[in-house]
Amino acid sequence: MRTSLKRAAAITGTLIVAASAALIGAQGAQADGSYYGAWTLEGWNFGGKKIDCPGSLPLPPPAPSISCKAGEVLELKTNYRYKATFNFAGDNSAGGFDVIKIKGSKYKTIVFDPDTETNDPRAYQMKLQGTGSGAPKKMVIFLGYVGPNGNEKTVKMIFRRDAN
Amino acid sequence: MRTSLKRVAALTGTLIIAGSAALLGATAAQADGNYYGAWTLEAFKINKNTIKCPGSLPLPPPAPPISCKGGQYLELKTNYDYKTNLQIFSQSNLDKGSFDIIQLKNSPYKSIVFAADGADNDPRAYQIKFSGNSSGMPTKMVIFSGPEGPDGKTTMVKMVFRRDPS
Repeated sequence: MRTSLKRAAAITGTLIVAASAALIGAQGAQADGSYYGAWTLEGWNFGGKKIDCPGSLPLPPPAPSISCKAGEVLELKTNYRYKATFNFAGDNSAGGFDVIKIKGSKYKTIVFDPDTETNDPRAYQMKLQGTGSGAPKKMVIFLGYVGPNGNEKTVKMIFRRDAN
Repeated sequence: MRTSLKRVAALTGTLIIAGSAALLGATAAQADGNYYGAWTLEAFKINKNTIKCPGSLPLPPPAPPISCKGGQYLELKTNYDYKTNLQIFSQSNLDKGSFDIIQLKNSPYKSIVFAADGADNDPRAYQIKFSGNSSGMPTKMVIFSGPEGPDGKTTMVKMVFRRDPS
């Protein structure tokens, strides 16, 4: 797998390894409540290439294709715990999270700390959309990485809020 | 380079690539002040191997040795900006940015998150601990991460800093 995919692999975790979907987690959560709830993974976007879930994106060999199943859910709880039906950082599908606003950054940062790997926190940027009528309906968790030609690309996970 | 070293590479950044040393922030900073100031990198610890700075640690080929120069620092400012001549936090040689320190619910340690100026879409999170503060401010800071490789083994990478005399 090319060096440029290393950070993407860090995001996708077991997804790349096991062809399942992957991911991710706020003092801020209780402050505004925008993050709470169950979010269904709708798709991925790798440097402009979109994968709707269920679906897959072939990668140059020897890397396996990236794929995601339908109905994968990330739940962000009010007690700063998260739970996912898909693997994030190996077998870790639950843990703690926090959302912060780092000075100078346009977007908020979400940090996940899987229960079984608490010495390896993962940070991503996040944005919420569709807030016109109250709670946001769409959440994008994303990270930039440098491609093989030195160009920066962005990996995005796109979620929609589950209807309650 | 083995896959298990990928997160190490992410930590060490240009260090691994260019044979130079590398590194790596806080709402809480202003709350307790432990983080403030200039910190000099004393050593890297990779699992049980210690690399004192300056120094180097050979790795199995084709990976280049991991090495660090002397005189490398990380300055954590009271306004949540950082400045460094280490090159770990970001994809490129960005020497400043902003940071924050948080306490994640399930972790025994605090986490420090860096966002380099010009690369704020690639924040980097590490754990952080302090020691040697019997007489007040801590004199030693360790920033660390323990990524798990595909083989299930954890590689613990630590950066050991001492506070510069002010």
